[in-house]
Amino acid sequence: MTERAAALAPISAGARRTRRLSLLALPFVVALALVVHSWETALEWWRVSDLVERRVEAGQSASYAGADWRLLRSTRVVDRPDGSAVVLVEFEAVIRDPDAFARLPCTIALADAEGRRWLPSFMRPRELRGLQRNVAIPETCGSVSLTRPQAGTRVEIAESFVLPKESLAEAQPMVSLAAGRPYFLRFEELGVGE
Amino acid sequence: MSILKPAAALVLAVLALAVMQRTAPGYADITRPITVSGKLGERLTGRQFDIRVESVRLGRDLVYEAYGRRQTLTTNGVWALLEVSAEATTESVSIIAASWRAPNGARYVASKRPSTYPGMLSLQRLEPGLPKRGFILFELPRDQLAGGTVLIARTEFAPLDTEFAFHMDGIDTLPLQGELVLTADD
Repeated sequence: MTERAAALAPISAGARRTRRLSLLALPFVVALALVVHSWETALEWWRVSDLVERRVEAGQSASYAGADWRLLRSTRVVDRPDGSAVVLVEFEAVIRDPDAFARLPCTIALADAEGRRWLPSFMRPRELRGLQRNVAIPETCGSVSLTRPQAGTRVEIAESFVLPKESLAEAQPMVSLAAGRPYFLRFEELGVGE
Repeated sequence: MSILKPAAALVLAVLALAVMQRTAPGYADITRPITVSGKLGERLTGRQFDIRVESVRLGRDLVYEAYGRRQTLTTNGVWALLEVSAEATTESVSIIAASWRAPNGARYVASKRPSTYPGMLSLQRLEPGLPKRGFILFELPRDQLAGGTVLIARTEFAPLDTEFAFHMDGIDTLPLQGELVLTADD
């Protein structure tokens, strides 16, 4: 048989079936390869992202990431000349699972309906003095976590924020801990008014 | 004739593979920052903040006051002081990476010499809804001013994040001041 004749020889039914099956399997194999290669990255993204919101009504507490969280108070400390306001937000956390609670990073933020987020900011010493009560330097979420409080301990956590005065009315505190993600808490009321 | 065809196919395949190998992007290329280009005075918007280079001043010495003391910084080249306004778009953010891409290809990282002057942009935190002004300072050879580009990003290594590129056209025609004074009003 010449080469040309061999090339034109009819393909057997078995070979045709194998080829068809291979083509059909190709999309699934490619999808499987993508899943295998990106699985760990996707899992990591799921663990570090704030994806699912759990709303907490005003005055209520919520069990989250090894502690029962409650918003104690929000204080409008001072207004700055640039149109911003400094707000101190204080939480109470009763520790239930010390290991889960101590897992960092811990993020407390203020968020509005448009998805904008204000992260904690340092308060100037003279602004802290403006608070009309005796407040020590507030313990932040990260610093409290590092002390690894025991189960049953009640801790107070405070963070300060700088945000536009016009955003005060709709900004809401949110809490996100490593052990709780992808869930995060959103407290319904900041309560400092515009 | 029967050998020529497969040989040509083989050569073509080898050529195609060689081209693919030579042109395949490396990891750094695949994850490089996404450039948003503009020029002096233009406001550019990126993933996490928007920014505008409002003005540029050139000088031989830089003078400023910090903690009640007058400081003078000299240079063998030229100080280029950029006044910038910026605002975070989605989340509080700090901008710590700025460099000057000179026409000879060299990159000059923004000077940290006036580290105690609070008006530097790298010392400020940008908040959504609160535009801020600040300075970025470069210490440059005189002949690398014309045709320079200012690159600004959130961090030194910002894979797939925004990198702003401001083309500094006409900067070499600006007057060179003897003393570039930073005041509290700045």
